[in-house]
Amino acid sequence: MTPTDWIALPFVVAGAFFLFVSAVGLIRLPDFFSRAHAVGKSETLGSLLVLIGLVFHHGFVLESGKLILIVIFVAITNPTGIHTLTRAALRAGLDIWVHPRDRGMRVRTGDEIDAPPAATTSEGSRTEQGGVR
Amino acid sequence: MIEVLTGLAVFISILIAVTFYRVLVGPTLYDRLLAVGAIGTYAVLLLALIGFIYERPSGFLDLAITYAILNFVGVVAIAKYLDLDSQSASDAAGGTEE
Repeated sequence: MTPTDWIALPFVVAGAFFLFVSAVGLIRLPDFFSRAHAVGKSETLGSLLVLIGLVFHHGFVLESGKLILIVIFVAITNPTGIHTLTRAALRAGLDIWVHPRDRGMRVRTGDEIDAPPAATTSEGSRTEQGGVR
Repeated sequence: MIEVLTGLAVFISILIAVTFYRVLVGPTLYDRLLAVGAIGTYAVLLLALIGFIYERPSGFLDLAITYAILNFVGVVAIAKYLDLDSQSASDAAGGTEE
């Protein structure tokens, strides 16, 4: 092994670890959105680390330029594609997983989060909305 | 280093086989699409690794670039199509006349 291979080895091993985490998250997590969370970040980071490790392994010649092109492309497109897919799933009204401890609580939707908070600091006469959390 | 890269290629092949479980039994269409996109990214890495294992990385890296582009276009096209489909369905159900 050349000295640059000793630089490449930690990158490749860390990338393999993150790819493993991504596959485990894709299999084990309970609903689509958490699976998209696992794949969108962990798999991107793992791919980038493996490809950067290959750049150090090969040295800085033309093929490394191609590898850096793949690095830039994967870093831009992989989260973008998964974001597009997740937005389509959210608009299609896919069910969101809730922890069994919290079943029965209302899950706030996007409109309620964007709305200003219910007037708790005003005169306090608006108790008819106090039950809504 | 070739041994390490070969081991990583075998490891990624195992990960592809494991991810294929989600393609087969994914409860929704979106889960299957997500797993297909993940397998595409694994395949890009596998192509690059095979190029370095066979000491002939130039052609295989061109293949990897092409595969990354096609993977991205495929996932985004199907996601936008599904988005359009669900929007037209909700328009038909909600009946917002214009």
